[in-house]
Amino acid sequence: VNSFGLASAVAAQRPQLDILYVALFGAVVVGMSVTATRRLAGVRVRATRSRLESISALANDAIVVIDEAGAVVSWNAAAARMFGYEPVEVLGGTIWHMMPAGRDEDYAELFKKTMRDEITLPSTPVQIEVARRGGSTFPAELSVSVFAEGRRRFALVIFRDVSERKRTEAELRASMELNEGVLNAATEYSIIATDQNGVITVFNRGAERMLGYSAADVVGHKTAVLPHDAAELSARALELGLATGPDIVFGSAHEGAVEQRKWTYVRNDGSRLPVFVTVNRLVATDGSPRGYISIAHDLSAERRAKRRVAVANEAFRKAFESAPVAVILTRRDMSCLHANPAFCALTGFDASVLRTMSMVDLMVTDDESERAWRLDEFENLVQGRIPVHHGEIRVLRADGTNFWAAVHTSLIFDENQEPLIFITHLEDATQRLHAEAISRDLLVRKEEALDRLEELDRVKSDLVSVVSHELRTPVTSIVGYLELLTDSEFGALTSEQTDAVSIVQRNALRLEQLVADLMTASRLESGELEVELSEVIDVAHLVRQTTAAMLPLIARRRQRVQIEVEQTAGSVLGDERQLEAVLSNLLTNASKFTPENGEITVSTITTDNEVTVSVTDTGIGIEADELTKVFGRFYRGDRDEVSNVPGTGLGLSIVKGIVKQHKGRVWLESQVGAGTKVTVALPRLVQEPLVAAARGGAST
Amino acid sequence: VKKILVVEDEDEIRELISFKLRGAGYDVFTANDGEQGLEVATQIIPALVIIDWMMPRMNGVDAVAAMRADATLRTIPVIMLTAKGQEQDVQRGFAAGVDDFIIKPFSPRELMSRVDAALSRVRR
Repeated sequence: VNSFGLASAVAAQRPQLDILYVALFGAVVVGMSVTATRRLAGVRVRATRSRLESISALANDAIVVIDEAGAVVSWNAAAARMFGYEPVEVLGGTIWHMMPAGRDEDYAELFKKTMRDEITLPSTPVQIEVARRGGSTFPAELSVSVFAEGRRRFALVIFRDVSERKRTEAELRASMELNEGVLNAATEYSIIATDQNGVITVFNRGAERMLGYSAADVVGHKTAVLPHDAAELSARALELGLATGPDIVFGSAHEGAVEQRKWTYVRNDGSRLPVFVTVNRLVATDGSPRGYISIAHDLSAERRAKRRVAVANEAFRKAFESAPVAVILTRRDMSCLHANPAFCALTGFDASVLRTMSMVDLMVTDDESERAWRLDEFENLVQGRIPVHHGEIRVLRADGTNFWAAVHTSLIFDENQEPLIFITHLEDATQRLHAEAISRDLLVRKEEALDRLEELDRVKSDLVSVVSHELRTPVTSIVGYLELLTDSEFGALTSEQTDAVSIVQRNALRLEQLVADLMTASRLESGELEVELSEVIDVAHLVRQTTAAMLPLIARRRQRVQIEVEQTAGSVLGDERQLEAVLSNLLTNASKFTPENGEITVSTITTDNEVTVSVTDTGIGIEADELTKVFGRFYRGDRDEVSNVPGTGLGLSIVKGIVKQHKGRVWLESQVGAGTKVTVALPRLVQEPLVAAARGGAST
Repeated sequence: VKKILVVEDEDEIRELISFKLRGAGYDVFTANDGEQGLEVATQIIPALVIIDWMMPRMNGVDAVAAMRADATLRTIPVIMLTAKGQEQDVQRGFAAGVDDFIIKPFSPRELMSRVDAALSRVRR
């Protein structure tokens, strides 16, 4: 009977109460004589009948008594509730249909064997699925016992409904699995639980990863302060006025509060990491303390990442906000997201207004093909076919006007490679386009000017060619045949003929000189005439020689010539023929502009650096404002005295050109009516001894 | 009697030179351009050639260069007449094989003395 484990099992039905009583308390009467037992039993039955009745009625387990034939003889209230059959429906019948589906025959057979003591009943309840009225099943624990009443034998069967317990168990199991999952899934968090004595009960994967210990090594060990930095613990202990130990870490969690603190964890390799730890006290359902759970997350990576992100964000924000270049961010649909101050300044739109606009609103174009091309370009950008779109667009200003801008648009993609934000840089291209237009225009004009210059140059060289060939050729004939005439090759000339021929000859020579001057001036101008400063020229010698050659001309005008050349006049480097031309030009001028019986003086002055040659006359002089003009080409004074004198106005320009080629200077001093002094200064060659030697070799 | 070839496209100048040379007793031949000049020179093998630079068809410098490449004409002295008095032109002429230059306009007397000088250099 005890094997049923029931202290309170009572039959519900009056007819069977006696039997039940005996079954329950049989053990008490074992060993007594049958009559004594009966008598005693009869007394007790009567004494406890009402109590048993109420117990059986109140029992939560289904209590069923079945006779040897398998018929139900007792069926309590709990059985009625559990199976859904009233006693009248069951009493006298069997319960096999309530057994697991399709097993009713097996159970009937099993019952018969049980009643014949052919099988040993299990000492603990057996779990089975039973069916209630309607066919639905529920788990139940089944206990069976057999007892005898006189010659009759009965089976006491008790069912306990365990569906509630099963559900709770399943829930608990699920909850535990969930906990386990959470603990191990929280790899970014170190979760360490300890019991009341500081022995580690939980050490999750996050803790393993963060600290380098394995759960197997630490769970079960009393190492509550395992990961903590000892110095930090001591400092905290001092602060709290406590001895170093787990309590320091648990802090206010000890009193049931949540303790949150930054600590330093030490890994098993000795390295340290900053962590943020939350400590909770674990409490059992009855309110008794069960230990603590510490949840820590690594601050180092987080701190670094946060700082990096913050710094980068700030840097980019600053760069964006303070950039002098107009930048606007637009979404995939071209709606404006954010514009920097430079953009607002450029367009005149407020940032808040821009946020309500689309980039399309800002583009001014009445050309559909341009718009289409631009959208194509954006599509290319979106498809990643081009990294940046460059172009020029007209951009709307807040005041309704627009301006040309150079745009550079790139695109940011999100993690799925979907286009996220367009970044457009805008530059006011008005100035640049204007400048480009101007410089294009200038270039065209410059090219035109160059073309004209080339044309002029060509014309000039043609002219030089004409002068040199077409003019020289007739002059050659004139001069040649005149010589034949004066040489009496065609017979002797009369004195009148001789005079006439000499006039022609003199003018032919002037023409020849003019041609030569034009050639020289043209070649000086074009840079064609390059003086080679290769000859060493003794200036005194040059002056004497050239002046002597000019004497006939000067003598014809009855002018006197004074030569005041120093004995030690220096030497210069240059082209002797050209310098001769310079001097004869100056002497010609002096003679031309000096009246008959005037005086011409040629003098030299040698200083340390220069050798100067001056030609002074007592002529008509030059007006002060003309002193520099006379060096210009074809310049002729307009005074009668000047215009009456034949000349081309080329002489002094040639002089200046040649002197310049010799790295020298030429200048005029003059007084109208008194005379003119023209001075040429040439750099002096200082290596006098070498000069003499070189001169001998150079004079051919 | 020495043969002198005058190659000049300008009739008057050619005639002026020829007149002067004939007066001095030379046997004068003439040509109007470089090509013709080469032809005549090959036929007569002159003692001296006076040749203008700028002429149609073949200019003086090219004609002189052709003469210097011809075995029979190689050693004949050449005086060149030119209106191009520039240094580099003269150098070009000398490089082509010209012996002397006379710059236009020139004195016929001076030309004659240059002719005598050139012929005496050959004799020597």
